[in-house]
Amino acid sequence: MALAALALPAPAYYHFIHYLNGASVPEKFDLAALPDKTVTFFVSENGPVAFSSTDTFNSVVSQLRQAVNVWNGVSTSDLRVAFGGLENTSTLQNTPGGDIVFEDLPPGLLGYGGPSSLATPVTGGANQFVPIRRTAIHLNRNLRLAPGPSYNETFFMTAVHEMGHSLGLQHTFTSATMSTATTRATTLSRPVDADDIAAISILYPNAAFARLGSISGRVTMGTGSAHLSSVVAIRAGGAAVSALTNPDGTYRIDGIPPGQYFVYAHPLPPDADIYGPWNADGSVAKSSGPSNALFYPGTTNLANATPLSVQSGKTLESINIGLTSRSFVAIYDAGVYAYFNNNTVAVKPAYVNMLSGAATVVAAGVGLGANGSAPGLNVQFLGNSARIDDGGIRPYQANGYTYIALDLGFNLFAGTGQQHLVFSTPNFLHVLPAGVILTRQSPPSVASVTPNGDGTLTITGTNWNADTQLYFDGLPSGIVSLSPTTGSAVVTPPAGASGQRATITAYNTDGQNSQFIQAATPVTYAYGTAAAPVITSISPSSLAAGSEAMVEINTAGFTFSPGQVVVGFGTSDIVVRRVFVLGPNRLQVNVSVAPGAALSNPDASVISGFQMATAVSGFQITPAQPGAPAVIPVFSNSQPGLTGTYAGALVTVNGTNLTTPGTQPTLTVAGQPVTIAQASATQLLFQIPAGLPTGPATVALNNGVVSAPVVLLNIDTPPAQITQIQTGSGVTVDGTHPARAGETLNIVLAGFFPATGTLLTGQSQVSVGGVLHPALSLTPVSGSTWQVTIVLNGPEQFGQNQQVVVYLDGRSSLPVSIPVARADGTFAPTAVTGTDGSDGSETPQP
Amino acid sequence: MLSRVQFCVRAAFLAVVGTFVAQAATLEKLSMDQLSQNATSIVRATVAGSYTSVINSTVYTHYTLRIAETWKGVAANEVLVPGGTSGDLRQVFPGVPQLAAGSEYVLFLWKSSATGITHLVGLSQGLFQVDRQQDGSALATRAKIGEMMLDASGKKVADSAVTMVLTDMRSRVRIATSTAVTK
Repeated sequence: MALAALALPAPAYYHFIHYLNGASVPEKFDLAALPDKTVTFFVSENGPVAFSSTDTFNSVVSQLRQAVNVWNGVSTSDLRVAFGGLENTSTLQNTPGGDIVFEDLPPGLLGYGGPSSLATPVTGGANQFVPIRRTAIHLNRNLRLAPGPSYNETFFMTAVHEMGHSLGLQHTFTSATMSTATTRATTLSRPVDADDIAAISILYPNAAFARLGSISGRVTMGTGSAHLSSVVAIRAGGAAVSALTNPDGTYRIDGIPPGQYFVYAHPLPPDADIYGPWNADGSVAKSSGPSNALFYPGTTNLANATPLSVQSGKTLESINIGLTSRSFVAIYDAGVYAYFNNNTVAVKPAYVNMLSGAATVVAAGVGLGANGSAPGLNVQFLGNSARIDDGGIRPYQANGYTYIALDLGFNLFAGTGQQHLVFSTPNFLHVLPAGVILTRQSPPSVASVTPNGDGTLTITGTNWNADTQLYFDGLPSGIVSLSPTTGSAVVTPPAGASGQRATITAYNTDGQNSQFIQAATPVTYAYGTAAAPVITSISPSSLAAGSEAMVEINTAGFTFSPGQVVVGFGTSDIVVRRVFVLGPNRLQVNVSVAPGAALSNPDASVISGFQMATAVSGFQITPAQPGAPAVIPVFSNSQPGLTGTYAGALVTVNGTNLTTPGTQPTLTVAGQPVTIAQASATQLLFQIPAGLPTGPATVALNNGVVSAPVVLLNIDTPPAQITQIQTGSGVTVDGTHPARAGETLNIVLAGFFPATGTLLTGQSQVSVGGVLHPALSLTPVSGSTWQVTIVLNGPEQFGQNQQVVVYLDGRSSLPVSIPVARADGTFAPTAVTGTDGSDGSETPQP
Repeated sequence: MLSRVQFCVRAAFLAVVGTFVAQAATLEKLSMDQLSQNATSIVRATVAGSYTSVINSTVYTHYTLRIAETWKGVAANEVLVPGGTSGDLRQVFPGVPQLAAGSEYVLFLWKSSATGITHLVGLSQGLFQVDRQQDGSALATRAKIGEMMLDASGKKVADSAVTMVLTDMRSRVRIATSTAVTK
C-alpha cells in the first residue's frame, strides 16, 4: 500500500451514477443554482386527510422539519437544507427544491421518494454532474397507516431516509441511515452515521471534508474486474464507510474518520435495490454478479485480516482484494434482535445492556441456517467489547423459519456502542455492521407529566442520563433541569397547537428511547385549547426577483421565542436568511428572492413549535428591476482572525449595484449615518457605530441614485476581552517577559461566558501568532470571567508582537499582542512553508 | 432481554419497534388474500409497450397491457408506475419496479378514485412474472423485496420471495375475491 495526499474525491456508486465519456457522473444539486447553497423542502398545503388519534398535521410538519435539520447539520457538506413551510403545488418555481406531498397511494404502498434530474449533464471536466432539478417525497395521505403516527421514530427516520434519496443518495450496506432495511442502526439520537455523512459530503464537499481519510484500490473477480462490489472500511466499535466499485474494479472510499480499519469487499444482496448506474445510451451497466466476500488482503478469517491506519487528509492506495465468482449470494440480510418487556417486544438492531450480565440475542437472515440447524456457522464480534460464548451459537426453528440464538459475554472495561458481527461458513463470509449496540443502561421510560403552573412541566421517568432529551411528538422540549438520579426533569414544552395531545418520548444518546418499552401506552400531554394562530400582516407583501430585503410579519395567537420560529414563503425562489423575533407575535426576517425567480403568489407560513399559520397566496414575486441595488445581509468582520458583528466592528457586506459611477453611496445602521470606508459595486466596508444595542438593526443603503430595500444586521454581544496572560509559573506576559515555546499560558478573559454555564474544552481555541491551540482547561474565575489554559507546543511564530485571540464556538475575543520567544528566549523569526507553497501565514479558521 | 432458558420459545419474527428506517419506498406487507381483495382489477397480461407522462409534477411510466385473462374487475389496459423520463426531465424512485416489454405478468391493480391513476397494489408486491415451464405449466413469481416492509400496526416485518403455480394462484385469487372484504 501507499500513502498519498488526498485528491479530489470521486463519486462513489451509491449515488445515482451515469457513465458518460469515461467518467462517473453523479446526479446532484447544482450549488451554483441554489441561493446560499440551500435546497429548501416544502410540505404541500394539502396535507394528510386521516390521522391516528393523537396525531395532527402540525406534528407531521414538526417531524419533517427535524428531518430537514438532520441533513442541514452535516458539517462536512457544503449543501445546506432548509424548511420552507407549506406550499401550493401549483406555485411556479424556478429554483431547484424539494416537495413533500401526501397522496392517494395504492394499498400496500406507504411512501416513496427520489430525485428529478435534467437528462443533460452539466459538463465541467472532472466535475461533471447531472443536475437535480426538483426532488419529491410522496407519503400516504392516510397517516392512520404506517409509518404514522408521526410521533413514532419510524416516521422521523422514514423522512430522513427519503430525504437522503432526494438529495442524491442511494442505498448502502453499512447500517447507516441510507442502508437497506436489514442493515441499519441509526436512531433519532444518531440519525446519520459516518457513511451517510461521507455520502452527502462526496457530492457537496467543503474544506472540512478533506480532513477525513480515504482508501482506494481495486477489486477483481477471477481474472476480471468486479463491478458494483461493495467495499467497506470498518473499525471496531466505530462506524463503517463504504463505496461501490467501478466497471474496472477500482474503488475509492472517502470520508473515513482517522483510525484503525479493516476493509472487506462483498457482493450486493439480490434485494439491494440499487438503481443504475446508467450508460450513455440510458441502459443499465450490469454488475459482475454474485461473489464471495473477503477481508483485505484476501481472507475470510478475521484473525488474518490486515488492519489499516487511516490518517487525516491521506489516501491509503492499492488496497486490492480478489474475489471469486459464485452462482448466488450465500448469506445476506442478516439482522440481530434483542427483547424487552418480558420478551414481548423485539428491537433490531439488538440493544444490550452489558451491565445486566450475560445476554442472549437472536440473529436471522437469508442463508444463516435451515431446518433449525446451521452447519458450520461461526459468529464473532469485530473487537473485544463483546464475545460469543463457547457453545453460544444455537440455531433453532420456529414457525418455519430458522433463527440463531447468540449467547453473549462482555468485556466490562471495553467500550459501548455499535458492535459489528462477522458471520462465516466454510464457504462464505458476511459482515453485519452495528448488529448489536452495547449500552450500560436499560431503555429509558417516561412515567408521568405534571404542569407546574408557570408554563413548565415536571416529567418523571427512569434510566435517564444527564443529556437525555424529552420530546413532545417530533420536537424536543427545553430542559430547565434534569436529574438522572431521581428521574425527574422540569421542561419547557414546545409551543403547542390548540387541542393537541403530544406523546412524550425520552431519548438517550446511546440510541435507546422510551418507545422501546412504551410504544403501546406512551405518556401524553394535553395542551388545552386556544384560538388558532393567524398571520395578520406581511410588509412588504411583494418583492422583485433578485431582491434582498427585510420583511415584517405580524401575527396573533402565537408565543414566539427566539430560535423556535420558522418562516417559509412556499417557493424555492425565496430563501429566508434569518428570523428575528421581536415579540410574541412580531417577526422580522431577511429574505432573498432569486434573480431568476418565477412570478408567483406563494403561500407564506409561520411555524413556532407546533403552532402554524399560513397566508395562502400571501406573498408576491414581481419582475426583476434591472440595476436595483441589493445588500446581501451576510456581514463579516473584516479584521483578520476576528469574528462577530458587534458595535464598533469593521465589517464587509456584499451585494449588487451597491454604487453608481459618479455618485457617493450613503448608508445608515439603526438610523445612524455611517462612513463607508471602501465601496465598490459589489462590496462595502464600514464600521458599525459604537454603542448600538445588541439585536437587529436596520441597514439602509442608497447607491447614489436608488435606495436598496432595508435589510437587518444583527448586532452581536460585545466580544470577550483578554485582561491578563500569565505563564504557568505565574509570570505575567508583557514586553519584558515574553511567552516562550513550550510554556503553559493562562489567559483570563472578561465577558467570556456566564459563570453558571458549562463549557467543554473543545468549544474553545486560542490563536497565538496565527497558530491555533486547543484549550486544555476552561476555568470560571468570577462572573463571566474565565481562564483559558493552553500550551505553546505548536509550530509557533516568534516575535515581539504576536496577536492572541481566544475563540469560543468560533466567536473571537478582542485581540491583544504579546511577545513570543523561542524556548531559549530568542526571537529569530521562523520561516514556515505551507504544504501549498504559501508562507503559512494564512489566518486560521477556528 | 431474553434469558437463555426462555429464548427458544421466542422467535425473531416478533414485531420490531423503534429503530428501523424506511427504504426508498416504504411498503405495507400484504398477503395474497389482501392483494386480491384490495385490487380493483387483477389481470394476466403481456406488456405491449410503454410511454411517459407528467401528472402533478410526477413523471409516470405507462405500461400498456395486452390482456390475456381478467381474474377480477374490469381489465385495465395500462398500469402507471412513478418514475421515468419525459422530455428533459428524468425521475428515479428506488423501489419502484420496472416492467419489461414482451414479458408476461399477473398484475394486481388498484385505480385511485381520487386521481384515476391505475397503480400496482403495493408496488412490487402486486407484480408477478409468469414463466412457462417445460411441462407446459406456468409459475408466477416475485423476488424478495428489499424495501422497508411494515405490518398494519407499523412494525417491521420480513419479506420473502413468492412462487406459485399460476393455476394455484388463480384459484387462490378467486377464493379470496369471492369472499372479499375490501380493506
